[in-house]
Amino acid sequence: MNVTVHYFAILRDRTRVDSETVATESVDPLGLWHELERKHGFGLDPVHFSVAVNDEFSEWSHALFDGDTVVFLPPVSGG
Amino acid sequence: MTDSVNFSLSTDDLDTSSLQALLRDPYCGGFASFEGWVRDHHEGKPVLRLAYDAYPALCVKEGTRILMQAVEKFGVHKAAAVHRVGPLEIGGVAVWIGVSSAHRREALAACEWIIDEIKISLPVWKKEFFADGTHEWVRCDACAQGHDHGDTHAHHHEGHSHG
Repeated sequence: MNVTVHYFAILRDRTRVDSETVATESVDPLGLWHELERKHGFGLDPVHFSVAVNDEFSEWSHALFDGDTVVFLPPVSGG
Repeated sequence: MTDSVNFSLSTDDLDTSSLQALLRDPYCGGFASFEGWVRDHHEGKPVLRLAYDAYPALCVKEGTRILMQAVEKFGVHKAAAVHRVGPLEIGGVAVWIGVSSAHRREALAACEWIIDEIKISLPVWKKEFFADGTHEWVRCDACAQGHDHGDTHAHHHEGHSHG
């Protein structure tokens, strides 16, 4: 299946792309993270991140489907 | 209820008097606002400027949820917030929050609650550029692999107070 990943903040700095569409066998965002970690070498620990799927806060174990959009969220620092 | 709240992101400087005018209402006798300003230091280090990145679709959803919850929780009449994205200079308005209500007390309380919620959950990220030429994403200093995780949560609210 194909999923689209958007990168923000430190992840955009590390990947040097705003977004990408990935052909993946990962069944959840955690698997996808590790797959993309191997590709980009984030050098970051996912324990500090949260995840959104299709523009909603989600879980690392959320089942992914073809066409989903995934965002890994660094610790927020707005205000 | 949605007519009573308005959340947005802005790439332009904020015109706070125009924003305030949107909350004016004959029903309301009280108005409270909060502005977060860009300050020139962070944990003792001189800051030259900063930049905000944001996840627009989720920001608007989450910002709207926060404002709607504030209207419900405090019984205020209208609530609005705008967060800047992109580069900002020292003294710039990074975030503006306004609340109008029949009486002052609930407007003040709602305003404080909204900025606290924004800091906790709005998907916005601040990058600070220091005088020594370095820069960093705030609160992500512990994100690197192999970093000791022990104190991450203790730092949750440090270094972000304004005013």
